[in-house]
Amino acid sequence: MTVKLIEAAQQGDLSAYEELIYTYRGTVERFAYQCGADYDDVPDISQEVFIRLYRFLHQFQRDRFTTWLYKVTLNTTRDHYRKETQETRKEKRLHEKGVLPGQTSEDTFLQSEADRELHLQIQKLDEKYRVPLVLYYFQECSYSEIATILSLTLGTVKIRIHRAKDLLRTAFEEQEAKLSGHTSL
Amino acid sequence: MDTHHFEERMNKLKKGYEEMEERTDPKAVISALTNKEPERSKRPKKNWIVPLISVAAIFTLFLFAMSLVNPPTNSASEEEKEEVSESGLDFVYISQEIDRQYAEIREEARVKMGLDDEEFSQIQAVVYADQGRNHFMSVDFIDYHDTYGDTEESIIETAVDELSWILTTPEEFLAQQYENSFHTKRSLEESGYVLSSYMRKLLDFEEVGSDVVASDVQIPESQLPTLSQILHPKFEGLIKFYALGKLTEAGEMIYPYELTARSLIEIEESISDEAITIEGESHRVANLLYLTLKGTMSENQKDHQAILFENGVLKKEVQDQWKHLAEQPENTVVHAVFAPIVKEMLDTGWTSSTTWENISYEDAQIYIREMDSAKYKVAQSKGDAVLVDAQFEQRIHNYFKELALVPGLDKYKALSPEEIVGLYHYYGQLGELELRYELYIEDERYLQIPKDEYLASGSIEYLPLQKYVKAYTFINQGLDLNGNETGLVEVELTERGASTHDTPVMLFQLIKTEDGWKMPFMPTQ
Repeated sequence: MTVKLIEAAQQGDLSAYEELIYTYRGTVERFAYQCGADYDDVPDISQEVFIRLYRFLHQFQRDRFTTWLYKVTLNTTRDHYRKETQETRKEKRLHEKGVLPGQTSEDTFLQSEADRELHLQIQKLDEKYRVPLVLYYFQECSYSEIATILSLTLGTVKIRIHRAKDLLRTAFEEQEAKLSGHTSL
Repeated sequence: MDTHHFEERMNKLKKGYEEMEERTDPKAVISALTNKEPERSKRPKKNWIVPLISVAAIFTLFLFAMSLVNPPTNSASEEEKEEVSESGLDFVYISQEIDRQYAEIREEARVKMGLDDEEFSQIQAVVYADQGRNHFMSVDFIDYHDTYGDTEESIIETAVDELSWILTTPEEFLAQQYENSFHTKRSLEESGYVLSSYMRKLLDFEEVGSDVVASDVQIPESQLPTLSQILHPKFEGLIKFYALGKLTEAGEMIYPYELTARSLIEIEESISDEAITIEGESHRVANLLYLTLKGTMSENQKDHQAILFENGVLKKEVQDQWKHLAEQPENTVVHAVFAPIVKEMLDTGWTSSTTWENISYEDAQIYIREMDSAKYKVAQSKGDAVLVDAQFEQRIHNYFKELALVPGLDKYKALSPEEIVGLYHYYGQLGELELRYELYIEDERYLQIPKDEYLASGSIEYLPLQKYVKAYTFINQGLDLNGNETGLVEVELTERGASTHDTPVMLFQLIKTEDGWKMPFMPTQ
């Protein structure tokens, strides 16, 4: 069905494109949020993604639509925060989310504290680890799809996901140690 | 946090994300599109060949360099560069920023290597990087990324990352790999990537015009410990072989003779794995075999005698090495080559062997091709069916009685694959989930289920063994990607068993470990 919608949209059928947006807006919004967008900025970013996608609709092959979707979403999210430095964004995010996890309106869909905490830890990861991890676990992309989306080699994708997992595990172990009052040697 | 727990949490979070309300208003998007008239570029659209930058790293440098030998014919004029793309990309800013950042990383690399500019510019990798800078600053490259909606910063980052990688020295590359490995050896596939990338870097960091070719690349011995720590153990023989180095001009060894025998054994161990091949490098291994046999690359019998014999008798050092090679497992090529030679030598008091005299360099090449291709022979072999009769059931019961309270996961080491599956069923029949858990493999490279979770999953009661299973048959399947021997046990079910599972035959997977045959956590096929 997506292929037919894309074909129609490429021919200028805006109602087909509107339907495409309905189909994929959830994916775009979730991916943008998982990549680090603030919850309140997600609708604006998503709208910009679909505007940009339409501009390039006629240029790509139909079977590579989702690759484009992720690429454009990632770049649009980066663009949205380009003027802020990474540090000030992290500070802002941690200030808003880290002190009182789960008490901001954006996190109400993450029901458990464990989920909110894991989301926070993922956001603390460097982007080069966070994005492959997000694509793999939450967008169910294969290694080769991730390599195409991020213009990385397959080996680099695997290494970065492996590293991301290790960093998250370490973060959790440290947290558990703090909570149980153990000190590390 | 173990792997299973981690995966569970990620899965739970994924479900949490799916509860996120969708807030994008499609009508607002359409309205924005219809109110905005997109600007059409006056420059004609071009068909770009997708740059090869994003393909596997081992080919990146070679193919990338080749593409630069014939630079694109539509390189930008200054006038074109002044244009802004239809999405607003500033070509001039991008190319200048790439140029500026490249100059910085280039200088940094030069200082790290302690070379002056002239010496530094003579390194092949630096030549590639300099050419790469030109490519990345071209309109073609920038325009290509523009069509993907990439931002200026991401285009610059892509270019600079690639150029940095080209200038990363072999030592730095290994250090990064070591840091990223967290003391865990890479899988076979990743090891292949790391080793081939490293070898490529060794080649690229030769001087321009050097006569070193890919097949001559030598791993510095000082890097062997680091490589051993990073790579899968199966690569051990291969990396030591690559550290052996070139022959002298006279075609003689420049390393101790004993190393050749050891290297031959180790390299056969390495390339016996499906994932590792020496195709393209087989002449180096053939040289090694020939040298071990003749002591020199010369084909002159008198030279062989002069090097390997003393007073008409094969030197003791050589005798010991050949005996060691002949004692290797019968299915190895080194055994096949040296066993008959050693026998003839022993019969003549280590003075002669017709087989040895007749072996030529061409024979050595054939032996090495055989060594590399042996792994491609299907390793599957089916054993005889083991009937589940009263005797077999008693044997399984005795294992249960003897081993139930014995500690240690190696207690089942002596059991055959058929007995392991029999015990698995027997434990199920008895409801002994804790004992059955001991039969599973404990190895992070395979799916793991924590014990408490497994025990909480409840018992599965099997019928008494003889009423359930007719026979077990083991099928050897050769090595898996982790280098472990694997097999299947074909379980032929009784009529009652078959009606329970709706099939007359089930297959159970098994993996051979140091502690004997173990089951993966989802063993049935």
